[in-house]
Amino acid sequence: MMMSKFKSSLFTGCAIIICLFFLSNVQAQEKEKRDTLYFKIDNSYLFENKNIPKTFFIKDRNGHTEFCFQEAEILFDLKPVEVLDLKYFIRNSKFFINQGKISLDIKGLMDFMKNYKIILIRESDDKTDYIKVNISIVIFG
Amino acid sequence: MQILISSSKIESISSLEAARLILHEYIHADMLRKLLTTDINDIEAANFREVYSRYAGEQYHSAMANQYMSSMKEALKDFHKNVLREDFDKYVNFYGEEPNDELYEAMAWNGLKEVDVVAWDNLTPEKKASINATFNNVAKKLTQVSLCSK
Repeated sequence: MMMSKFKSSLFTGCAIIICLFFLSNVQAQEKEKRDTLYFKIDNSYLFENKNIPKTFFIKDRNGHTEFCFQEAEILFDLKPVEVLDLKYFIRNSKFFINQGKISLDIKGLMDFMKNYKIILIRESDDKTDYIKVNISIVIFG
Repeated sequence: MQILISSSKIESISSLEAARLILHEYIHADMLRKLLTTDINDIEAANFREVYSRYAGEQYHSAMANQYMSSMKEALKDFHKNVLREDFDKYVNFYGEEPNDELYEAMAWNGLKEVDVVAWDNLTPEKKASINATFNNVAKKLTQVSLCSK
């Protein structure tokens, strides 16, 4: 029982330390965004992970490391000139590798995406949400 | 950047193996941080990028095996002896001696023994067999917490 409690506290502690460590680093790397890219959430290639709220993953990954978008804020009444298909965008880019379990150059995609303001578009029957997101990485152990 | 560990996986492995899993994923995160940082004053990251650029393609696990194996082995050894003391003492009582470095090396290789990991491929068949035998015969017998003990 003691070991179980210890493991639980150990993992909680590690998760907090890791998050704090990388949060400060990511914030330090934030810089002025330039143009805006709009991507439509199709719930197939680009989808929200129901177990990790406000986090949007794509099907392509790099082993157990995954690129994702994290919701920052909901915007309204935007008028995007062009909405891109993220699957087409990535599959036809140099970031798509397609080598077995590795299908994505996450570093390359992060380096590219961080230069843009990213808006995800979520359409439902009665409304359209424009979700401003930050880019991130989740490593699944 | 986030690291998410499967709770069901954690409950099915030993405490030291759980520590190894967290360490493995933490190193992944740190490698990505070094590759992605724009801090020109981060010399350690710059050095890592220089070394990593010599690997062909996506070789995170090869880089980890080549550059972090010694650190992982020492970290597991230190964590076992100083943090998982109860588990460490049980090992000593059972085997009559302290764990040797081969145990921690075998554990550190776990998660890196893949066909596309050049560092693992480059080991001799005898070395691979030794690592696998140590892991299967010893590492898997370390203290494991079952759901019934909660």
